[in-house]
Amino acid sequence: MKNPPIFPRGYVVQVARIDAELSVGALLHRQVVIKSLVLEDPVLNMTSDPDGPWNFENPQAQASQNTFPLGVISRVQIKRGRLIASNLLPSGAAGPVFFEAHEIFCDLEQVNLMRILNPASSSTDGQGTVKAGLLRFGSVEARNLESKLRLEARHVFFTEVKAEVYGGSAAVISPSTCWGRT
Amino acid sequence: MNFKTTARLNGVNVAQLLAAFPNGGGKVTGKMEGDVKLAGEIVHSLRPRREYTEPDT
Repeated sequence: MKNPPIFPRGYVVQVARIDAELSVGALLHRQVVIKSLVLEDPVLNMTSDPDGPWNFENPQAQASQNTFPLGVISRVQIKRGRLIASNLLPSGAAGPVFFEAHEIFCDLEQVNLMRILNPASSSTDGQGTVKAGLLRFGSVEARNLESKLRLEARHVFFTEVKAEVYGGSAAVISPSTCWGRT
Repeated sequence: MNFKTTARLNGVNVAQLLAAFPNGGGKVTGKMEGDVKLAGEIVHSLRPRREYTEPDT
């Protein structure tokens, strides 16, 4: 999936391999229903435009009647994922990376992709567990993160988070939240 | 993008942690324990790498 035109050339998401399990019963009724997805070696490049949206947002997109509607997917697994977050510079060129996560393994249930991408969503759009071998916040590192997470109303809620930090440990003692512009 | 969290730290090697920051290494050593509250917004800077690439004037 490529970046929208206002962003530098590149991809929002690249995935080496996708395995999808389809509902045979739905296919017999000429409907495509994905029961489960396994994404192997995906790379998510999140880029923020200081004056506008993230590259994965597309407020101008209209739901096309020609594309099949993606319903709730019972299970989504991510294996060996990588997430890279960066800002655009005022010149429009790609800026420095401010967050990256490597060796991500994620197991989510009841994932609603369409609602995740919809800025007006106000419901739970998936929940599960995530592990990451390495996280970098600028120059600060954490390793072996484990957490439960919930996607809800454009927020990501992390609970039961623990990680290794510079010879010690970090454990989140209250629910953590991350959210985009409101 | 905004974030909010409260974390409990145990046994963090302060020398290793500070070494991750420019000019931060070698000033404090020991193990750190405590609760840390972090909240804020990841903001944009017109010149995000200035402090690393340009001398003070």
